[in-house]
Amino acid sequence: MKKTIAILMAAAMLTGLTGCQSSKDSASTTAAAAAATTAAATEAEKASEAPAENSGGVVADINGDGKTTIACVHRNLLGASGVNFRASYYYSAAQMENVELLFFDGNQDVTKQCNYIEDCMASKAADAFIVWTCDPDGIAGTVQAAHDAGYPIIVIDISLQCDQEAFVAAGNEEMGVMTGESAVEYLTKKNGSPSGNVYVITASNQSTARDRVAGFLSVIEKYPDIKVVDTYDMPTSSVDDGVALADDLIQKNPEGTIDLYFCMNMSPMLGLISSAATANRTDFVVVGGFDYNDTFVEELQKGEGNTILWSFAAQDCFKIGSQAFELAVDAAQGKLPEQKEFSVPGDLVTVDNLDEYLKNYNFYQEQILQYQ
Amino acid sequence: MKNKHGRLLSLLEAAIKWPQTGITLALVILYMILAFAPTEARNTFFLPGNIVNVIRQSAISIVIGIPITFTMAAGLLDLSIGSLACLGAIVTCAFITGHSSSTLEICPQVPIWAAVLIGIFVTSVFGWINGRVITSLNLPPFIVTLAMQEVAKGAVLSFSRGFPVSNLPPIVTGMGRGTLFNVPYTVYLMLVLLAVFWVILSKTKFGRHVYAIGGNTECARLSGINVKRTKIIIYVINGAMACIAGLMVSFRLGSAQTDLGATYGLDAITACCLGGTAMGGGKGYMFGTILGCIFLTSLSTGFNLMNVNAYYQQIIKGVVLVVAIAFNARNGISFRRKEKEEEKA
Repeated sequence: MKKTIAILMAAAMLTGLTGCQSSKDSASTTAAAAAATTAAATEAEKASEAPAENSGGVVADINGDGKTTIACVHRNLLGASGVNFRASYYYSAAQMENVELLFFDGNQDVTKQCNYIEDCMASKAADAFIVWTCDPDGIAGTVQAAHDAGYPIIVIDISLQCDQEAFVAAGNEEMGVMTGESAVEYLTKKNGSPSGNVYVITASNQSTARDRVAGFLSVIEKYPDIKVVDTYDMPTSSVDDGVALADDLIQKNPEGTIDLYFCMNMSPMLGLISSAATANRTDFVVVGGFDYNDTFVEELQKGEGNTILWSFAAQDCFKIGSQAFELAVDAAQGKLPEQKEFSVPGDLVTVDNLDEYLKNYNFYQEQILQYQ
Repeated sequence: MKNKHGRLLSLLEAAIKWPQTGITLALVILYMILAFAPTEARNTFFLPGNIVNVIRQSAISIVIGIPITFTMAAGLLDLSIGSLACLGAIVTCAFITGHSSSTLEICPQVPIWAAVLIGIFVTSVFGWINGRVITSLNLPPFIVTLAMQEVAKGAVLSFSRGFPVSNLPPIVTGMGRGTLFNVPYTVYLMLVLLAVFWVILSKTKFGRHVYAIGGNTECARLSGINVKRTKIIIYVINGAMACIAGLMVSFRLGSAQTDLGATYGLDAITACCLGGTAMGGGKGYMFGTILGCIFLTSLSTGFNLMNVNAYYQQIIKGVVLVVAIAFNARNGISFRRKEKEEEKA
């Protein structure tokens, strides 16, 4: 029975492949004459364009199908940022004519991401790439190869050490600075002066986390009475690890020993909010987070003094995604960006400006709801 | 004198043969290090608050460890249990709130008890599919449950559109965070489930069937045991318990996150191996699994209290897994050799 199923499946696969090939062949034969005619017209068009639009080795409409197809190779779809980036691409594509989007979810696997890029190159499915990687070192070689082959590359959020047309990110260091200033404000309010004990949770294997921590520390270090008591390097971003770590930190640091925890992303922040509630601890606050989360909003809605969340920083995924997509479309059409780096300012959300922030956030959410 | 000496020797022999000797010794050594080594953990690990902390964290891994003990005792494997925990949590919390992100309505809002039943039902169905595919097509459990892991992850993202489910009502977070006599509600839940399944595994016909299938599937079939049905029931139990574990975390957090449960399966297998449950089947020890879970949680907590670098923690956890499986394999070989000798005799 198993052998029969295997043989039938193999036959179906072979039939499908043969069918595809024969239809491709017939299509390419009939299209050959048309292509020859349009190729001449395209070449004439290209010759009349300004030379700078095709500089840097990038080729416009590399797959020559007359459409602009952008391949977005994502690290994951876990959480608001991944979903909102994707929705903003689809939203942007829907506003443009003759533009298509191919979306690939790497599911935290850099090998998958590399495979998607290589598949797109081999099948000439895309004209440009937007890359959001889970492993900058692992993917750099593949992205470089794509660039060398003439594909425009737009990188978002996590920087890559390879050639690219633009890097669009939230300004992680700037958000770290905003968070640092917010922390100083809290410590001054609590202790009467900028002083107190701070605990930093970082992730040295992530460039975004390193930038955020650098920004935060650049502010904190200006105040000699604010002491970074300890640092924990948390390599994973899973919520289970965040909760376990938070429980342990609360045990390790009894009441009154730590005034403020800095969290480089969502999971330790969620963990600390939950662990503090379980342990009835209100002697410290948390800042950071660096992403939108309904739980953060819910906590701030409780009001100052009723939550341990002092502020959270949120990157503007809509603007990052939209800007990256527009840059990719322009580059695919031969118009390269004039600058290499685009910093999209994030927001620092506190009890005071929460309503204002939510008004903007919900407005964009409604725009892209159908694309989520 | 000779009698006392003899008794001591037989006690020692019994201790050596006891399947949980290794894990008990490991726990004792670990606690001695935590108690006496000149580290930060010495002052904090044995405080009442931290003991409760360790028990609370262990409760979740024990709830996952219970069905995995059944599974391994039957000679099976389930790598999808972590993803099913996530799926159960997302589905239940979505039906409680009626939405995933604050503006995205994805399902009707139902009473909490109904939402919990829906979540358990959904994950049990996935478990049933695991069991059905494994038994009907005679495919390796490793492959089927690995595939189901991916299917469940995809189902989570499709259903929730990638967003976590937040804004759980206070009564729900109260269940997840509340305590009775300073013991978290989740620990009581774990104890009830433990008692129920301990009785099932050790005192019922179903439990004996599980061991028989793990010991020798063909013999079990020939002796009249419905092997297929028993295996399917095991996977359905896995699905249901996975949902409960996912809810224990989510109710405490106040939200169901889409990356929950990533390491549950591997941690549970490690704990079961440490506790003496044979990977090849035929032997399963609930008490051993409990000790294994407590060991792994204590190790992790101890490391965090000692501020051991997280990268080294991962290396050590991997080494512990290899050692556990190595001992397990050695015991399994001895077990099979003993069985063959008994058959020959």
